[in-house]
Amino acid sequence: MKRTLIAIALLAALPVAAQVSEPMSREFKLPLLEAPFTKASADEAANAYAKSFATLVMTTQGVEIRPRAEFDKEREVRFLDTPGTCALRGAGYILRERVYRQDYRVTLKTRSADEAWVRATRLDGPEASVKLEEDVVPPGTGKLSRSATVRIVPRQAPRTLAQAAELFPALKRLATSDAPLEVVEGLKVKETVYKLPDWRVAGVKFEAGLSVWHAASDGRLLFVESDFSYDVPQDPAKAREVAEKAQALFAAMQADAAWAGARTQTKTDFTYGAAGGKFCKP
Amino acid sequence: MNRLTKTLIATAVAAIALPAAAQNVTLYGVADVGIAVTSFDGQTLTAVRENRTARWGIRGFEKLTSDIEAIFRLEGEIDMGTGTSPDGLFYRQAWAGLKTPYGIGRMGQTKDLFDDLSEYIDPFRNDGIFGDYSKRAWRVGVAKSRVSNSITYEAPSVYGLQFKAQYSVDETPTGVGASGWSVSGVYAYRDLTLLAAYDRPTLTATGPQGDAYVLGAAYQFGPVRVSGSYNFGNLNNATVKAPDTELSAYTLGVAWDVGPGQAKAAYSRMNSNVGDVNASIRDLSAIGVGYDYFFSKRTTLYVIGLYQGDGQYDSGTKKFIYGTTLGAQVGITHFF
Repeated sequence: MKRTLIAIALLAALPVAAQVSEPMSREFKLPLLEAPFTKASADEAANAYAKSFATLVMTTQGVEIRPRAEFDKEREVRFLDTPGTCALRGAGYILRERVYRQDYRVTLKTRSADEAWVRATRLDGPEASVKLEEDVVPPGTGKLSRSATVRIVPRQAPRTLAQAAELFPALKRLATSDAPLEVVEGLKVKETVYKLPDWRVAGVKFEAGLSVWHAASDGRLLFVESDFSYDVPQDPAKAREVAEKAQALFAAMQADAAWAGARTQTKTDFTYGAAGGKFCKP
Repeated sequence: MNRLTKTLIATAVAAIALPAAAQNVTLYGVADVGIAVTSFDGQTLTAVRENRTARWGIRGFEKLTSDIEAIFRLEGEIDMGTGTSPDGLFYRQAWAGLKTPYGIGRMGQTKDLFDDLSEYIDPFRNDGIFGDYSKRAWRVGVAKSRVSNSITYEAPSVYGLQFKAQYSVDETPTGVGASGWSVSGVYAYRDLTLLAAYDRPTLTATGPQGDAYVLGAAYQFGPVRVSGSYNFGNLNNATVKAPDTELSAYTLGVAWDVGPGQAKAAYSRMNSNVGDVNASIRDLSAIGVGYDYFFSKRTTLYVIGLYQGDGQYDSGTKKFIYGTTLGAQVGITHFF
């Protein structure tokens, strides 16, 4: 009987281990032209874009969605790094704060092109919500990234590498000195996020949004980005079907001359170069 | 059966059962305790008590299809002073239901839709020594904290507008009680919140069935949130020949993000058209001030001050003693 029970105890764990495959999402990001958002209010421009986007979804996915952008949230966004050295970026990370009133969310994200390194890098920490995703940028280049987000209160906002390492143990290797963290390029962004309607392909939910960046200091329009994302299904046939639909939509978005921007930077690259890249220079 | 065999059986059962259960079931709760000192009619009372109701609960879901989930919640209250559960094991919440793209439907013991809206208006959320009074004003003698034997539907939020409806079965023979129902609507867009609700609570004995409604609004001016509401309750609703007993109340609230926490103040006023009758049917006015220091996202230290100027009902002598109540409360709230 003991042997049977031991066997049950051990075998019961096996299917769990065998089934574990890390869930992954894909997020497609397209910078948009700023002009429509300077000529009209952000709300009006977002709704005008939503009409165009709904047409593209109909054309490429065969799904009808409401042609409307719904205001989702407004928050301040800033990236943190060590001035003069950019130790985080140098080590393949970005550290981002998103703040709405007393609600602080700090995200540590990999930004390395080395997929094996990203897969092997663990960002788990106390209270961290971790995800693995592929960021896809024009024309269709995918880059794997892992991110971890923690919710904190203002008192806990990291202002040194050592404090950041308390939130994200993966940074302990870097936090050999108590190097200060400052806002990259001094850029504080007021981010307005709009939600575009969801749709489904082969039972897989697609979510879409629009983010508009203004400088918090003077209200200048900085960046507009349209995005959509989905969780990759485990079934390979379904994953392929969904990926093809996503590619078709992303290609159509890029071909939409009325909205697609010529910019090739990501928001992170834009931020690190916002003041000519002075922040990282010694 | 020896100890090793028992251990192996327990391990085998846990190994089979836990991975499945752990994926979708969450244990959660609030541990809140502090000290409150109140002074009235020359007497000072010191009590170990809560601000946010201490509670523990289990919630979970099972994905049935890509669109539909089965959901459940069981939640009980804890008296942190004595470690007991005052109102039954899962008095606060005990329900199960379905979550679909067309809304959430659930059945069982749950929060009253009308009462649930108070957190949009009262920065003290009807809790603590100020909440002892503000919740009476909010409920205007009619609404209750919890609803039994209920069926609740929560519509999806569309463009910031969300409706909810609740029906509760009285479970009494014909002609004795009456089923209750309530509806609520909240519109939230950017910094503005508007709300309204109507409540006709279940009647479980013969008698008049009261009703209540509330209208409220809140606006966020940068770091400052300002809120206000008007509540009206009719306790006998013209079902008896005596004049209606009516209570009207308003609540004004301010919450201000200051430093690493939030300062808050609120004023609750209730007027009774039949004067002071008991603890619920009465005139009252209360002012609360307080500060929450957010130590972490899970732990808050708080301090609350109270002024209440319309006396107290003595349930022993069944008489009102008029005078001023002053109070202070400090404590800690921890969410897990």
